[in-house]
Amino acid sequence: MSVKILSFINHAPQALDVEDSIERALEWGVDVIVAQGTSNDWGAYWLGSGLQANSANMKANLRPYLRAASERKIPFVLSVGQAGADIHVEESLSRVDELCREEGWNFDVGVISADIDPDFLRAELRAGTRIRAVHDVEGLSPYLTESDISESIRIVGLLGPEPIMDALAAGVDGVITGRAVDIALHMALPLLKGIPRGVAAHAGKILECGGIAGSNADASEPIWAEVDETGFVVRSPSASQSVTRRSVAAHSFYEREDPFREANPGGMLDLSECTYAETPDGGIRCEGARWIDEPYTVLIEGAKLLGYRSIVVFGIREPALLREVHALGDRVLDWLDSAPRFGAYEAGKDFRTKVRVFGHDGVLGPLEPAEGITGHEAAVIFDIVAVNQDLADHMAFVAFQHFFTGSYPGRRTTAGNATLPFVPANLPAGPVYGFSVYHILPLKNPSDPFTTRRVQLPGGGVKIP
Amino acid sequence: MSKIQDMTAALRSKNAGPFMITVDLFFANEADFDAVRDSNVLSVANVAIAYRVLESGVVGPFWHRDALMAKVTVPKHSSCQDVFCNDIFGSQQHFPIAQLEV
Repeated sequence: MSVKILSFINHAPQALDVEDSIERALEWGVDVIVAQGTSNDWGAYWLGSGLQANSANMKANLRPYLRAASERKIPFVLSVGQAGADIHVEESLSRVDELCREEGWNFDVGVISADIDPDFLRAELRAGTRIRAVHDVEGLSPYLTESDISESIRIVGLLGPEPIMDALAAGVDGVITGRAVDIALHMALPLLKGIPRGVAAHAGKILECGGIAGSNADASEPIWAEVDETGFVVRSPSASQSVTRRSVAAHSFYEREDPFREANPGGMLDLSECTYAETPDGGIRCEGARWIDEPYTVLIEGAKLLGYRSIVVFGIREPALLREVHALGDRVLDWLDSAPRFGAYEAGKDFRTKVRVFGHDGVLGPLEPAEGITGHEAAVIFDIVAVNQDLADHMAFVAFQHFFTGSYPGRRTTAGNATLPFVPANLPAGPVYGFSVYHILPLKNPSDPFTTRRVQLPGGGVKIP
Repeated sequence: MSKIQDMTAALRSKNAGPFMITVDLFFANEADFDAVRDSNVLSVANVAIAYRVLESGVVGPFWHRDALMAKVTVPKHSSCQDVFCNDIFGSQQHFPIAQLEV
């Protein structure tokens, strides 16, 4: 009994020879094609805005492996839409629909929504469920409240393997989910085939970022594994990549707090006793993952509006201003705080201002040990976040004027203090979002808050029970 | 005295979720791995000072001699909850570790 998985990242543009890599993987055998495409790495912006970075990019990325899925009748499991709310899933689905029309493919797809109905959460709170924050972070209630729910623009949950297993078991050609635990996508088919949860989860962990687990840590490459009851063998189907004991073991470190123990829906994955061994065919065999059952929980994420941003970008070459840049920048911010025209607004509440000096401490902020600018030029960014876009743009323009023509000790640049690389000087950056919800929701049934519908692509959709 | 910057083949930071930053150290050989581990430079106390966080917030350090890797994780001092977050992906926050003297 084994399951062969070919894995991609569906927002990562592939290597130019991806077709060759897919062909090689098909020679080894592929039982399921998996690609993850949701993340909270960007913060709450995409969840709040309902946008995604670029779904045309996703469509182009999907084309080669959905072609393989169509031609070889291989099931696929994809998470889509960056923040993975319904609004993102529907946009992504329309891109897959375009692909199907262009290529003449037909897919019967299980589409799993990750949106959490606010009323579901309210009912949980009223029933006494304690929904705790993952971290003690400013702006997050230690335990979820009804007002957190009300101020959220939308809320998603990271679905586990169970709803995907249900959809696969119903006989679909593929599954497309919203926000999901990455490894849940890889775990679903192995779990259906009876592979132990620890092995399935460890395989997912190594495969979830495609070729990042390979020797040159390249996300544009796919990765492949054959998973059985006691472990799995990872191989790279790419001509320009291999896997090594180190590259595979190292991937258990990637983007996670603790390389040996990780909390997942329904349990803790313990990798502390894992072994990684070379196989004669250039693969790495991984064994020893343990799964410790725990009560079933999912991470839920909600976004709220924090304000509207406008920025001004300056470049400086004049040595006298390089020495005085913080003093002049701070004086501009003081002007904004005390200008009569902004008197109706309260600093720190209705608007917040910052000057970022790249060339000094723009990257590390207070952790920067360098005392001042040591190079020959610097960039200065005024950053204004206000209660509305008009106020942010107005303040940014005033900041531009004051910094561009303001006086400072030793000033000789009386025709203009800095370069302006962009017009407009005040660049509206639009709404700013933060997390209103980043909490752990206990679930009696892993599929409870997630709804699945069955869609025939191209064309329409039919709701399944 | 060498800095961690000079004793690692690769040194990277990244978000571990939006509210934590994790720093991975890759060593070129066992001697460098052992020297850094045994120096205790990555103690919870040193890491807490380097990132100006509470010792209780530091996760690790973790050592994986087979992979010649180490890791330590800290709360993100400027996360996406801060409208002026200075590193959305947390991908340049290795420096406070890089400059520690072994």
